[in-house]
Amino acid sequence: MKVRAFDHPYKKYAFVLFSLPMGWVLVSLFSGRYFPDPAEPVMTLTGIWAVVFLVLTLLMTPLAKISKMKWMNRFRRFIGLTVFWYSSMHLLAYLMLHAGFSWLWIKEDLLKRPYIYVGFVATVILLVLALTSFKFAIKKLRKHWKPLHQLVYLAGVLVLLHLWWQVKSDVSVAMYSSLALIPILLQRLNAAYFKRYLNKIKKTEKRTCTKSVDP
Amino acid sequence: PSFASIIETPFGKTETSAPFETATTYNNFYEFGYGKGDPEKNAESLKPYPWKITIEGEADITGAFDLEDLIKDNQLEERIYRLRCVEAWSMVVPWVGIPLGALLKKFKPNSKAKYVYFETLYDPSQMPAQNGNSLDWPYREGLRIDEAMNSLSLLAVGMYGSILPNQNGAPVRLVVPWKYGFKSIKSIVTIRFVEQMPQTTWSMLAPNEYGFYANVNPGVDHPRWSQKQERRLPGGLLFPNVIDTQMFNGYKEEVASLYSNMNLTRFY
Repeated sequence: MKVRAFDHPYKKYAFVLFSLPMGWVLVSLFSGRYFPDPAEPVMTLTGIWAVVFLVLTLLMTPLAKISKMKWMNRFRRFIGLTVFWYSSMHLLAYLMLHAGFSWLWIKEDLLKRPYIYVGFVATVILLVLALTSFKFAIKKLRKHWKPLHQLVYLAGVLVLLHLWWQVKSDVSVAMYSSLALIPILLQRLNAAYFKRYLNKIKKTEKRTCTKSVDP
Repeated sequence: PSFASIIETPFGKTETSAPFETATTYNNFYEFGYGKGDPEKNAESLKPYPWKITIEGEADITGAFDLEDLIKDNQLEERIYRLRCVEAWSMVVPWVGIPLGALLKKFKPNSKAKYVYFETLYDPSQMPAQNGNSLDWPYREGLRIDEAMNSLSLLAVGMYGSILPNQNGAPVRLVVPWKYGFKSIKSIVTIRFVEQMPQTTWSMLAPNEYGFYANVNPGVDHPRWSQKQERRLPGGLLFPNVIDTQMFNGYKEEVASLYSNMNLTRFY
């Protein structure tokens, strides 16, 4: 049987590779390595890997452009879904291992802790992007699809806020994530502005051309 | 090694103690690393015997004393206490020790002794993570003198019927069960009677997050999380045992009178 998600022959291997960190976390969890309080290691590891894959996703567009390797674009959705998968596991670890599905605990956090709700909003964004990442949704959404999926950059900003707000005394995770994410976000921002700028020039040029041809 | 004789006390008779394994592998002791498992892995380099404690400040008797000499006159007691960490987990631990007040009285603190200040050993060769600057070493803690004299305050030298494992603060630590765990300073080398409220490690690092009093209080949130509930360890593999946090960690009867005229939201 052919699975549509594995349309590219390398995707099988990518799937295995991307699943390794999660596999390691699950094996450790079920073998009792994180006992008696698995919340912190599971949240930390799934969180870090979500950021790693987010950085990879955001790197795809510029890398594909620079290297002119079009095939890389075919992996974008795949890596994007991996980000969603790890961030969902991160959220699930919080809800289950950390808060024990206690509504009082979760409610308190969501209403009062900005670092928790920015993380939550980022995951909701990723959920929406995951649900609309398939061909059917792309067709349905047409020109709205691209701006919708540019929300991934907003998710990136929210992730950084989430990381800096939760620092206790060790800033290393927040620091490394910023070093990786901020240049990419700035580059994308810059690219967006540049594009708009170029478009403007083109438009004015067109206008001046038509004028000059039209005496 | 176990102790020759320990008397039982009524404290915690209805509680279920955490397994020894849990209490000795899940520790916050930044002198040996950030991770909960780091102290158990790295604390071997600590040499707790022999051990001296220096008594300083506003008291008639001061000087350096052998730990053994300090506690030999007192009957060791077993006290099963709930330990509530400010990070919202908790554990029940059977400590062995002597009332802190009984020890402090020996030095005859004078009328200027309003607070008691404690310091952990500072020796990076024994405590390797002191080479880093995660905290401002040495670790410092303090109590108001009436808190220190309260009958619940314990100077622990053991747990589970034996001497303290290194990762739990060998050879001598404080246990102040109605306060968040970070008040229960480990591996104490200095006790100083002082007039002014002393600076304490966590409130030096983040004064808006950790106060001097650090009383367990479900009504006062940590800025980054709620203190209304806690995970009582150990829970299940996937489902933690979440319970409601009690005022003064359930020791209201014994300690509420210490704070009768205080706004505990302001003095957190």
